[in-house]
Amino acid sequence: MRTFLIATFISWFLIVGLIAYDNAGTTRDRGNAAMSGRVEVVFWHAMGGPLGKVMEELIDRFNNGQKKYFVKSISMGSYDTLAKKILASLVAKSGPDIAQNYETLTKKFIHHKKIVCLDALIASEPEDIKKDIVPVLLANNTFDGKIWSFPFNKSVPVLYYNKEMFRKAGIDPERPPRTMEEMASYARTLTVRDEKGQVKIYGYSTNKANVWMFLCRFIQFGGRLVDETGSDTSHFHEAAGVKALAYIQDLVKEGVANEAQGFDHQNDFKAQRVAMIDNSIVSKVHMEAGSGIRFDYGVAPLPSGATDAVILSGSNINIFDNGDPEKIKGAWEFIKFFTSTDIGAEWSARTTYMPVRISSLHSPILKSAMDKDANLRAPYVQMDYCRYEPRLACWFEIRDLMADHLERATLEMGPPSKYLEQMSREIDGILRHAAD
Amino acid sequence: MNKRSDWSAYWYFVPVFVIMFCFQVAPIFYSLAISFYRWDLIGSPEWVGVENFSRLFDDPMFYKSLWNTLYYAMVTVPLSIGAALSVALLLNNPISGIGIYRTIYFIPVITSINAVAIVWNFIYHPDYGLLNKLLVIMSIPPQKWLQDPFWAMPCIILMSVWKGLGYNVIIFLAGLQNIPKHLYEAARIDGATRLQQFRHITWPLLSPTTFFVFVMSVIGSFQVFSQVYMMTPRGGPLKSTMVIVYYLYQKAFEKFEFGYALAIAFVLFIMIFGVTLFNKLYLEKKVHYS
Repeated sequence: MRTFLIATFISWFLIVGLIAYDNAGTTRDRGNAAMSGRVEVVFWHAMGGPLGKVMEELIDRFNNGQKKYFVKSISMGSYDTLAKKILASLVAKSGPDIAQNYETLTKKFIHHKKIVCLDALIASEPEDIKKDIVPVLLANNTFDGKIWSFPFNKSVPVLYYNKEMFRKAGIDPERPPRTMEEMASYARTLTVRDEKGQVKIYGYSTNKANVWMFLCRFIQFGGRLVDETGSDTSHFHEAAGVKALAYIQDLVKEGVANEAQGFDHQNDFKAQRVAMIDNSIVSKVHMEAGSGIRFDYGVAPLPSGATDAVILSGSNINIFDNGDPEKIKGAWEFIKFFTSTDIGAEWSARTTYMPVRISSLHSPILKSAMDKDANLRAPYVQMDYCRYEPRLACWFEIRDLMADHLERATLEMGPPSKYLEQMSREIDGILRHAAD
Repeated sequence: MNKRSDWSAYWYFVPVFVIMFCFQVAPIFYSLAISFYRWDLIGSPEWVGVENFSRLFDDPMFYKSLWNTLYYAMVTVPLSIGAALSVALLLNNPISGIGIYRTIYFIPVITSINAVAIVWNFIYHPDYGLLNKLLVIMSIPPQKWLQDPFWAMPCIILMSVWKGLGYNVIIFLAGLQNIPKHLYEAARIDGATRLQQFRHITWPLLSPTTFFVFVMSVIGSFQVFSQVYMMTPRGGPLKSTMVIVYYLYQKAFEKFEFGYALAIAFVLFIMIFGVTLFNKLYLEKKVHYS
């Protein structure tokens, strides 16, 4: 018993000692940053995996490239956690100096005066930055005529297809489907069944209850999203919505498409169990990481309906008003660096996120990357008709509700209007509630 | 006796009291207070009286989550007690390698629920999962399991019973070993069968243990969360696994409606309190303390 007690005591002593030592280490680092007179800018983000690595590398380059500021990057794991932590930290008054964010939250921050308006910072630059920002991204970050956030990691959805399967099915691998009808017929040709009629390879796979793809299809079929005035009503039950929902329902019913959970369709594509999937262009980086994609594949723009349309995904960046103008200045310097022509082009080439600057698009860095990998072209083709989701405070709630109805629609396979009409009614309820 | 030594007892009590007060008692009252406000965390709380509670009683999703929780509890509690008791009876036999068996049954308990959930996700996977592979071998048509509104909850229940089994087994084993051996000997001499021995000796003398396991299982069932969160995102297909704690988590940390979430939490507290009070006042009378 006594030896046990002594052992326990020594273990505790060691643990506490190690923690203390470790703490001393971090404080020393901080001390160094302070001693050299650098202003620390704390950056909270949700970038992990291969994309996070690229970001860390670029942050290091910023930190080593000048002596005034030090950006300390802290990963929060996921966007959900990030949002929670930011809100909690604002209550505790110990928030970050900059953070990634979605538009709905930015709106909340504007309302509660937690973030810095970027207009003055942008105007203080000798260069006309505003003119060089990709128009859709500029619009996406402008609220009531003012720029409150800066585009950071925005991506577009694309179509991934297995060229080897295309060849086997007798489809030209250099000619991916251009319209939705074409994609449906490709899916039929590409689906492989065994002798018992069980599907071995699905022609097409997408996410279950996928609001993002539904919205893309809805606009492609000519639908109109809810506007941002707050007095609009839902249009999802109109013809375009019915077409968009019927499209996926019919393909699933026919047995040439399936709806997967989470990232399963991405894994299935990698394992050659589906011929075509739609997902964000950044999935390319995720799929190529690790063991890589071991077959010939292509990336194409989303096939069009009545018109071409894609919806942006990903987040922007906010500067928080922590009352220290030096930190705000440092944060702005970092954002400027990160989205500058060359760094922005490199960021885009290595992560497939959209570059913020028009000049990045024309930079030789991006051009040579595209020459090396033709699959990098698809996202940039789509930039001209890129859209974003309504930046309403209640939009996440609406999105959640839409996911429920879309899920029900492909589970029960009833007529599309049945689900869409109820969905629209409930969305209108949320919109009305949010208006008062 | 001098008076000072009496007072010193209170000082021993202070550390525990401070911890309990700061981290248990105060938060309970604080959250009750917040449930009368509308609060999105970033703004300042706005007094709304009993609005959160009246909204709660009109909220179909609250009733759905309530029903799902009851469904979970009503199946999980008897199933885990039955399974744990059976395993405990088996493990109470003097067979060789008993320590290894007991360890095997206890391993799931000490494994992180998140790791366990990921493994079970794989077992339940509709296309490549172990369970469907097994069914196909036995020529039973494969199911969608966690993606099927009918099967999702039974899947969660099965996994939870498996996960919690070892803990209850240990408690039952302790209970079984407290039963005096001479009672069985006497029964055997009188010619009682094993079933009779179980019915008239084991079951009544084990009742304090069974009661403890029952009460704890009921409380635990009402608080089920992690496996639902890990295995069925967004509350499962058609919200078939939306349980109360998940619903309140969603309201608090996804929609940032803290007042409403805390109103749900308070109702849950009252429910658990009520059930436990019932167990204590009514069921405990049937418990046979030797």
